[in-house]
Amino acid sequence: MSRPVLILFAGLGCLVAAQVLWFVALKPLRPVVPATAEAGAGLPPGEFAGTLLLGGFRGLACDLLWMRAVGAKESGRHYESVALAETIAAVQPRFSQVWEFLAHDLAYNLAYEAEDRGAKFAWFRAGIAANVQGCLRNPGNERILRNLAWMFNHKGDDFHTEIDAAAWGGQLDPVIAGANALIPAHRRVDPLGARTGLSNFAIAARLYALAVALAEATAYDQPHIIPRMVPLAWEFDGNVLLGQGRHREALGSWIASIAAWQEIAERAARATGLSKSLIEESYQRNEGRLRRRAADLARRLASDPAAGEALASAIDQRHLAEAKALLAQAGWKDHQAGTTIRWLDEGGTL
Amino acid sequence: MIRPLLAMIAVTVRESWRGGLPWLVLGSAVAVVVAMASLDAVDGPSRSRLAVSLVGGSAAFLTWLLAAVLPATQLRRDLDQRQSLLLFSKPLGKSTYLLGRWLGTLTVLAAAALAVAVAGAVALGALGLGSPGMRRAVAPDAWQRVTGLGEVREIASTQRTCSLDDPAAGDGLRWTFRGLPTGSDLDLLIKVAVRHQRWELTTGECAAQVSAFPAADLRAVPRVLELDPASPYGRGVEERPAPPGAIVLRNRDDKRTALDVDFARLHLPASCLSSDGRAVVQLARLDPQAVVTVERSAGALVATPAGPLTPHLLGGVLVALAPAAVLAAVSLLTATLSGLPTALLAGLTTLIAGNAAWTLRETLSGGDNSAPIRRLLELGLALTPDFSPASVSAGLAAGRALEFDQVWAAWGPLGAWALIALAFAWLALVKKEL
Repeated sequence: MSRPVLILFAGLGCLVAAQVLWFVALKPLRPVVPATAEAGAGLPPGEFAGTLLLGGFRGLACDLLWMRAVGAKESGRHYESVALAETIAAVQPRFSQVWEFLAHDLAYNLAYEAEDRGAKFAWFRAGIAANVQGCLRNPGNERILRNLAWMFNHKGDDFHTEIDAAAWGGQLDPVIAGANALIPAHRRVDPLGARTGLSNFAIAARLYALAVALAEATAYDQPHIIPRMVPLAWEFDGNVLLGQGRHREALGSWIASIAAWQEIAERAARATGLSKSLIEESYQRNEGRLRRRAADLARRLASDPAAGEALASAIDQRHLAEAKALLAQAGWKDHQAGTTIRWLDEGGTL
Repeated sequence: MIRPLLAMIAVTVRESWRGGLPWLVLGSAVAVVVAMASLDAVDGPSRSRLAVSLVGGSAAFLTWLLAAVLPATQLRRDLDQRQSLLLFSKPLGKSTYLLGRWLGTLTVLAAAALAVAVAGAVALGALGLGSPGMRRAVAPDAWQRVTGLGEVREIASTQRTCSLDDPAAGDGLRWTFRGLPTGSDLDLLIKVAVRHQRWELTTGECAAQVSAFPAADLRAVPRVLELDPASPYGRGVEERPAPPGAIVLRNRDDKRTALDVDFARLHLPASCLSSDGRAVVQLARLDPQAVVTVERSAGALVATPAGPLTPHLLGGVLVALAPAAVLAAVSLLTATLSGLPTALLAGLTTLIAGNAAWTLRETLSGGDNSAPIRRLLELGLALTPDFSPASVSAGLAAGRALEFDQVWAAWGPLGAWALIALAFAWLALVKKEL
């Protein structure tokens, strides 16, 4: 066989291999990534104008704007960086990092600059709104959804009272519905509706659970710390409720946390290498301690000692469905009389 | 030389017009207005700051992008389509041709940026976004430290900040301002960083007294300055109001630069100014538990009204043209040396490099680079035009008037870059057989 023919066959082989790789790599993304022909559909007029106007220069313009936005942020010119990020988001709304960047600037940097608490919370809400918009413009994107969960978990910790008093369903339910549509039925999260009284951690736990389910549905290689944020957020929710004297609700959150830890245990069984040891270590360090705290609280909240012991035993033996059912029955005190707040860094049980 | 030069400028402008540039500018202006209308901010001043940032940034960005593309396209067309043969058969020097193309491009870019800036300024009013109150800020000419016993000590001219941390309080700073307009009251702006004497405790406030010497005479009894009723802070809060004759300063770090939001504003009466426009102002720290850190360049400023935003926005366009001048010259140089794709790539690379000079500086300042890397970075920094002096939109959004110094700071070094690139382009064109 002559050399040109060999080169020809080698080239053809590469093309076929590339095609096979393309099919294999893109298959899991097909349900969540729209086809190019549909990319322009549903764009708001501003985004459509920006996209159409720049044409082939869109990517280049985004690169340059992105660089300037990062420069402005590094120099502390947060208003300029927000303005640039908003421009990028309008020009390339499927660039997921820019939504995170924008949300972070609004909720953290501009909130820091604001004077009073009300204005700080307003900037936090603006950041959440930007992140929600990013989630809606990028359905199926785990990263933005995870950032939304993180913002509630981390920054939301500064605004317990305000978050508690607000109804978040109107803003977050479209995100939850969008993610629910892409994940199996048994992993779906109930919409928040008009509910108030949810802590930032309760919202974060739900969003983290969605992000984990979404990553699994799209075969996205999620950092191994993220699934553990679900039980941790539920536990923090329980701690906040405990501090507010809502002891029975706190116990419910702790049971939810223990249930989420069981999923982590299953995940540890499937994992290998360093991830496995890290997940197992985290599980062992947290789960047993939380079970003991929950069982202790169950005994204290029971009007009838036998019922308290039954619930404590169910928690201790990880019969969590039974524990939930028992706690849902009548006869439990909503709070334990005579207790004082114990700060999170204090040792011991309640 | 003037007539051929003007003819080349006119040709460049006409070609750009025919090439559909007005549509691009119109589209950009519409996109900016649409983006302004959809800005999400929690209050009026914030929305206004965002909108001004957006307008200034967009006008500059459009100019820079066009500067990297437009002149190379026009020059390559002249060379590739043999129009240059026709052009240079006329009494037109190659230097005149290049200068005409360059100046023509700058004219087109100035018009494009002005159109976007004017559209933005009109939209600011039409959309009811308002605009920041523009102020011209005069920094102190000299500053001194005053101890609690009244002793005055000089501060080294190299010292950028000064901390007041005497446990007995009563210490302070004295600033001397020169070149102030006389005959009317002025605004004195004060901004300091505040922390507690003990690191583990937090405080963000410090009571202080600000006074000025009548007619800048140090022998006179200082006059306590009053807080402007419209000052963003200084009165304290309801449960802890400012002591009589004092103000409550709040912690403001060096990242906070908005003149109308981040500075406590006091009245500086005309009687405190000497006939030659000099004023001496003194700040005394009253809270012994607070440590006050003051920046030399931004701790105390005397502000004078600087009119509406629009003229400053248009001045910002002039500053934004400085990087465009470099980009256009580099674009012409590379288009003379090679084909259009290479020229476009070179223009865009310069644009990226000019915007990324801060990363080189930051990496260099890290101090943990190996010697070869450090030298490479230093070389890169020396060979890279720095576009950061041309970023004025954040300052405008913060209510700071555009000064001629800023125009010069941008045009000085970048103008030299542009001239060097043009000189090389001329050399390359001379070597070509046309």
